[in-house]
Amino acid sequence: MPFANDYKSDIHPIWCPGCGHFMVLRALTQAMAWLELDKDRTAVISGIGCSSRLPAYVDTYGFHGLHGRALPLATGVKLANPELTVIVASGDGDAYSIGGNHFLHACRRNLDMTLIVMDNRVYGMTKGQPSPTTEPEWKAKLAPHGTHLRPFQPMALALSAGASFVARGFSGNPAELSKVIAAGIEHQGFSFIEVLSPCVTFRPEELAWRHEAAPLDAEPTDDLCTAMHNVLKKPALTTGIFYQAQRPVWEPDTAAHRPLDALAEEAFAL
Amino acid sequence: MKTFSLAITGSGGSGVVTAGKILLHAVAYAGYWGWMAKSFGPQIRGGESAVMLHLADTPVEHNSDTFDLLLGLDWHGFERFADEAPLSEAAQIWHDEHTPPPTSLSGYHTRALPLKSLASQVPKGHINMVAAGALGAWLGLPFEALEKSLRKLLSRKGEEVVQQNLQLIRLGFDQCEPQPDLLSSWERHSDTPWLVQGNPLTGLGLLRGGIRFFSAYPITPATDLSEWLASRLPTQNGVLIQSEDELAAINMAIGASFAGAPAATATSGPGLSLMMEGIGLAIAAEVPVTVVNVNRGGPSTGIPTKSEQSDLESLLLGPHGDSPHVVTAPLGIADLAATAQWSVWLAETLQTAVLMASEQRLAMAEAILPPVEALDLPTPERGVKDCSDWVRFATDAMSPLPVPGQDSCRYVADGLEHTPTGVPSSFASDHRAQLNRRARKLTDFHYGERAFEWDGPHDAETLLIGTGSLWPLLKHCARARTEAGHPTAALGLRLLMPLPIEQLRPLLEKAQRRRVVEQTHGAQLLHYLQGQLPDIPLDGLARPGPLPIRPGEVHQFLEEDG
Ligand SMILES: Cc1ncc(C[n+]2csc(CCOP(=O)(O)OP(=O)(O)O)c2C)c(N)n1
Ligand code: SF4
Repeated sequence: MPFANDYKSDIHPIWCPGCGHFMVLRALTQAMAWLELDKDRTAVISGIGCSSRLPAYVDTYGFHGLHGRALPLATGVKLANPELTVIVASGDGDAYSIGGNHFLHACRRNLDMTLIVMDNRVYGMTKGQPSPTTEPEWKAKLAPHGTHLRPFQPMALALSAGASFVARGFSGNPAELSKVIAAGIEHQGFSFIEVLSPCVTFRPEELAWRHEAAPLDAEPTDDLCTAMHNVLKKPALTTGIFYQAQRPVWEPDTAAHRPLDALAEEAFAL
Repeated sequence: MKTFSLAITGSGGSGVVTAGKILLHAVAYAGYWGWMAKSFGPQIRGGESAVMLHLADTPVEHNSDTFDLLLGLDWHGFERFADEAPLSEAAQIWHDEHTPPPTSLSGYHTRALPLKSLASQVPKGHINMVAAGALGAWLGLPFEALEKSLRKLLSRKGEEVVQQNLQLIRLGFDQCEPQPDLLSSWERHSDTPWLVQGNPLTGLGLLRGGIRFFSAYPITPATDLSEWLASRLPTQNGVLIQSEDELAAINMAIGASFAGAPAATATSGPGLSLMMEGIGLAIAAEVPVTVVNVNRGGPSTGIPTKSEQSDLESLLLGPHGDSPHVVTAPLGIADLAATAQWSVWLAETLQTAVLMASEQRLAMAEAILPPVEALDLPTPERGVKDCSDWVRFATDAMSPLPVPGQDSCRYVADGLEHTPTGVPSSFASDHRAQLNRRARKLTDFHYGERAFEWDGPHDAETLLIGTGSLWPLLKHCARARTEAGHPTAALGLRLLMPLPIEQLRPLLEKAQRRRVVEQTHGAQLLHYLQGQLPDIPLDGLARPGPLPIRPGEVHQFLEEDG
């Protein structure tokens, strides 16, 4: 069986020492090793952000695209080459703010791919602005008095938009996170995994998450109401698989082959 | 060349477009040539609409100066469209006996027809069919041609509908005598022509180019290109997806192309702006992608249903940073397929974004053309046989694109500047080397004869330069002037970026005056060409849409220009 390290590239991450994203990389490569993923048949796709740097650190095919556009990029990859295992690495700014619309539509299409959002409740790469999951009173240079905005509940959004696998992990518990990611990759359909991943530089207080994170005391359910109840009622740092259901994966139209000349004649000949 | 131009106008739902289609098809069946422009108001349903038919005894694609006949199915909203159909002095106005033309049209010869009363003889009868029959007879079309045309367009609705409409056409047909100097006296061809619509023909070109993925978000006037592909791309083992927006459309296409499928998308001005960041990504990460932009009136939401060439600067200069890419333009309607095919081929061969400058005027046109053959281009191959010494972004050579899942050339495509192997780098040396690579692969490439077209004497004193929908017009004007004793040539630019300066320079230098004709307000093409050829004096005629540029306008410009 391969080791996690076999899936790491030899590029050293640019992340700050202690950044939660290191452990996400660790957990992801561990999951890949467990699943013995074929590196040549795996593509890790991302947008822009500290979290989105991840593809370069994994020894598979990868695409480090545009801020917010990882999901459409991955959608194109998966539709054009369905045999690939597609994993999307994103951040809370990337996935929920600039890419928020794509997040909803990717859930709705339910293509077979795994979205890992490293949520640190801040824009790390641009040095500390509030994101859609930041607490309303958190103060930043760009929001000196806080945003006074209710944070998004991404897992609730994902459930209502149609994701068929919804889970939360914590970078401080990479053993559990690896299992959640492996389950997400194995799941047929769109798997959304929210990973709490502290930004030690701009949100050092998030290091306290390790005292609060606790596993979900329930089995994965395919009942949307139960899942939604758990997502909304359990403490924000509850980790585990909240929802897993079989739902049709979007399939593009197919048709029997026809010669191009026949198509042209049919359309344009008199 | 013999020509006849007629316009049919009416409110939406009056069947203007159907009448035009029936006539155009009948013209084709009868062995003549012609094309039809459509014009719509902004309303989705019920607004004014018009079709303008240009008939000729040889293949034709340019506008006429004036119309010889105007038929009003009704006159609702006519004034909003009147400018688009300037009438000749001898023009006739046809109308229903109970709906006389507006006073603005007084002074012309009019003809009142009992359209409504004839239509009422047939259950659910519409006057557009009666009018099509009357016009067909008067133009000199055989009834069989009209019948064939009707069957072609309506047979899917069942024989009963065909018979009803045939009856209506017959009622109209019997109202008029063929004019001896019109179609019946023209020379007919015995070819089996095509009757094409611009956007679908572009779609055919994309398929011929080998696209296997197409993503798009609806926008007028690009939508029916996507709609045409929706049922056809799957027959080529391809995938079509309606994306949630244009940001997604371009990124999906890039993702698909990265994963091994030649990919394209289509949009119009506002969508093009949204795609720009993605286009830059395709350029930087060297992922082949073709973007068809169907130019409508701009800026902003502009005039969605009408034509212009004003997205040119966006197409050329839109992506941020130093982003060399390819911009192509179809030279007329018949060229839509070839230029689309060539664009996909260039994207694949050069591994970059190719933006194709289509226009509403081309995309919404219908034309009778000789069958449009596919270009004979070698199929660009995807895939790397041996990845051991493969380098994705070598500074001195292109390398083939691997197919993930098939080849063992794992790499990360990136919009960040990178080293030759694709590792992100902010070193000056890497940046310079990669900028050079991306620029040189385009400038060193030999684009061949397709880059531009020349029509006219090589020692022409006047050179008319243009692109897109204006090419057929410039050819027509140059020929007319040459015949009148002023040697004039037309130069049509199919490759706008990179501009084939070395080939163009001697041609431009030979002429005494070079005039750029374009449908923009800001003389965008002129300024671009002047910037590329600063030492060659250029001048031009630039006018925004939505009214098309007509031959007389070009002639007058050249006269006044001395
Ligand atoms: C179009 C565009 N807008 C803005 C940026 C600047 N930008 C880069 S990363 C980023 C936010 C990243 O935050 P997040 O997704 O939460 O990831 P993190 O860095 O916290 O891991 C922003 C706004 C950009 N690269 N592109
Ligand atoms: S800024 Fe924050 S998110 Fe970015 S690498 Fe540093 S610790 Fe991680």
